[in-house]
Amino acid sequence: MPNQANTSDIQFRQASVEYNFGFLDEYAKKEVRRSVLKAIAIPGYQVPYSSREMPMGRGFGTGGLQLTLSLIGKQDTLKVIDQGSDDSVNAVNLRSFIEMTCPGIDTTTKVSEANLIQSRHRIPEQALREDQVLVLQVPYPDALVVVEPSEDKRKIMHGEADYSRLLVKLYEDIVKFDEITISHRYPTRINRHYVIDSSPIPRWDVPKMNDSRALILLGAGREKKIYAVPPYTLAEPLEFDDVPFRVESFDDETDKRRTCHRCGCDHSFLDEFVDAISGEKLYQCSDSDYCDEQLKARSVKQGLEG
Amino acid sequence: MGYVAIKGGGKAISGAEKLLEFVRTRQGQSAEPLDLDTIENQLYFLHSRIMSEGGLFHPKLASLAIKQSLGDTLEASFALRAYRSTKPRLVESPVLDTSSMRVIRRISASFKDIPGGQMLGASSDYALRLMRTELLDESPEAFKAVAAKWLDENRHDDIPDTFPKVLDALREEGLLPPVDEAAAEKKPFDITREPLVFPVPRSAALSTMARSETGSILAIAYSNMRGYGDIHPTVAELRVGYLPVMLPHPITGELIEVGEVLMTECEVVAMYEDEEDGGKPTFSLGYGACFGHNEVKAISMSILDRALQSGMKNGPTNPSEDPEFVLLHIDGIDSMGFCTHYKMPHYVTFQSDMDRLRTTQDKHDDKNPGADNA
Amino acid sequence: MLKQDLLGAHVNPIWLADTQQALFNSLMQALSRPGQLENWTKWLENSPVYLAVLATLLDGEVSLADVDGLLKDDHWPLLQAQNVHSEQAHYALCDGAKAISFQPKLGTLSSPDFATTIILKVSKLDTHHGDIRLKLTGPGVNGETQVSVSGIDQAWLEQRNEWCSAFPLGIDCILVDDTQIMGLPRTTKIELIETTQNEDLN
Repeated sequence: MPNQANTSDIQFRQASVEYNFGFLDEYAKKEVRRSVLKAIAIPGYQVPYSSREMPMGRGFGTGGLQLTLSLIGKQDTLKVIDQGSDDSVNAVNLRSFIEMTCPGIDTTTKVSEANLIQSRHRIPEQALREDQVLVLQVPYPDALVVVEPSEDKRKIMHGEADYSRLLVKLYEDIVKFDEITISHRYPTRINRHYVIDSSPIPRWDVPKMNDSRALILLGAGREKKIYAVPPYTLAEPLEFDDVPFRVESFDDETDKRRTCHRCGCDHSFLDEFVDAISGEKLYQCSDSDYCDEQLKARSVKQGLEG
Repeated sequence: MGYVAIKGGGKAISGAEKLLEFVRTRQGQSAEPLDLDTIENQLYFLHSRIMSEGGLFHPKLASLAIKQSLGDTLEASFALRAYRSTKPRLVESPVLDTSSMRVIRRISASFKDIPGGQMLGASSDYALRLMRTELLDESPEAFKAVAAKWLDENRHDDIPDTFPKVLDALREEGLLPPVDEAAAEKKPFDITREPLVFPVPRSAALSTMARSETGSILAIAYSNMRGYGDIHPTVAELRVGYLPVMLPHPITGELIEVGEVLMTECEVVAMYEDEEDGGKPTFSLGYGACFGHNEVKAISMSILDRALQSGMKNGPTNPSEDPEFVLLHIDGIDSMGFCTHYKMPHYVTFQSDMDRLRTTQDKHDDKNPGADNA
Repeated sequence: MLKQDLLGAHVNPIWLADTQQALFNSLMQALSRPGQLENWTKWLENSPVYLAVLATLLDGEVSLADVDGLLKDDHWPLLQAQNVHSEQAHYALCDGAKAISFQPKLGTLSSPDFATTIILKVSKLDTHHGDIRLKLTGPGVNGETQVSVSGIDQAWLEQRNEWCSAFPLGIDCILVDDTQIMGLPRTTKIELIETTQNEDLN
């Protein structure tokens, strides 16, 4: 069951009757919706839209938020994640704003219960379903910005699928460091044409975009762009034959896979932190819902065994 | 029924908001809350700036925005802009003619004698910037007496409401190109409804600059003034006043005046250019206008308008002539939002950064055995 | 946007924000999953499906061409869209049984989104039976899928493939019959595998 606690504690957040359901007026929603359809029809192409100012900072997920608010209705169940966690301050902030402006919707922390998921920096570990839509918040939508500052020129390069300068940049990286140094926002080619900035998801999450069962929508509010990775669509990280794309390694010095200190999981993206008391370096699942599920599964298993 | 999911993070946010609210009210028992009229009048320039950067002429809400944001200009403009963005566009005014402005100040730097004369109005241009210590402990009586005395000594009806425009005189002399009637007929670009996809029309550039952040637009215009550009502007006319706003009647379609907005308008005359078509050379023009009384912004805008027209025509030769560079970096709401966002958690991306660095370091160590960094 | 008539009178649900939210999500799934049929019966109340599609997408910011005269005069003020010539339109409403009479905008290399979206009325969409059987592949299709369309001039499909032959240029189609919609984004590869004009539709 979804958690039933309510947000009345946040005193300053009372929805004003002046605001429409979903905060945006219906015209603003229609524009976002039209852009979403274009984005789906041209996978990976950044559709410009007017992007309204939202009552939170540009850079705090206003692009994702406008997508969510344009899609959501009273029958929907929403999950909001930041850094893999539903409880991170920004996730809480966005969720409470959506709850306030969309009376009647349900929210949840469980991936399995949500049909609409808005996330910053992570794609859930649990594979998504066809009936789910993932909305990612994007600060920099254009993978070409590292080689070309002018948007006008980048649009031409994208149209021609001319990514030679980006590949040269990756190649120079290899020459200099023996390794592709791009850590997140990994340039990923969609449907063999457009290269997208995969939003600041870690490389770990990039393969989840490929042939996904769920529709993935990406929204950049400040840069005023919407793009999409439709379901069952090729999403290939840029790589060279001899230097393949690699996800983050969580192996220790002895090449043994580190595990989550909480749930024992050995196949999830881990956050590393230092225990305040022992000074010991600890690892924990970044995806808090997945960690909870693994923990529950483990205790059920132990219960059965014991 | 809506179920909600929430845990500890919400408490932190709520606590931070409450603490900020305490900061706003901490002055103590003797304090009076700021009233909105006081903000509009005694913080006149701040108030003007917020309406202009917020892109909404709403004096009362602008005051409220200043009050609730504790005077932070970026935050106050942001609140006003966010409010504006929820409002549908119901009707459009026709292009308004600023010669009908009820002028409270107008000056020209190009001519000593301009038709109608110079009118200095309220200005600090020639004030000595000395600390006015007599205001340290100003009594309400003294405060009220100043305004009463001024009203007593000055008669409002001495001054005409409207003035002819300086540019019209220059135009009559053939020093300026004729008004581009075709451009006036074109539907202006609405930046609140359409994204900027470059190249953009001049009307898109003008409206982006009209709600830009004052410091940002000044900085880029200043780069042009100092030498990263060479438009050599002369202020033909700078005017501040109240512009009547006309809207079509919902049923009859007849134009009716619905109110007036305080505006600052600046027209600069810049050096002439070679005419490719062999026509008679004339001065060129730059235009700036914004809500409220904000002269630095209007002048900066007029200079950049001229610089951008050059860049649009011949390709930019410096940053202030590059429409992308100028228009995408002068919005205070965009830039402050993105600046602020760096305070948010970036644990996951930083984890990923560390992974790359460690891998690169390992490879470096493999290649350079012995050259330890211990 | 009006939630109800100012006098409290009943308003056809396709003009209500809540309905449009639901219809849009259905439309989004349709465009995301070419070949998947979405049934709109429960939202319609006698309105034609194409009108519901238009009501969901349009407002005064975009333009529409009613190429084959399917709309009634009183639909226009409700849709608010600018009424323009078919070659200029953001959206074009066409009858699939009629011949193609115009060249839609295909977008440009830098801005392929400046292309026309065509809402194409056909007599029947069906997973199994119909005049023309299509095999669909491409983004959104898990492997391949098949669907049957009736009441469409075959030239439409051929012309559509021609218009979409140079990605990213192309047009996106929303096919509608009396109760259902189906999306055909420009990325979908359409192959005609069977044409049986005389087959019983039910």
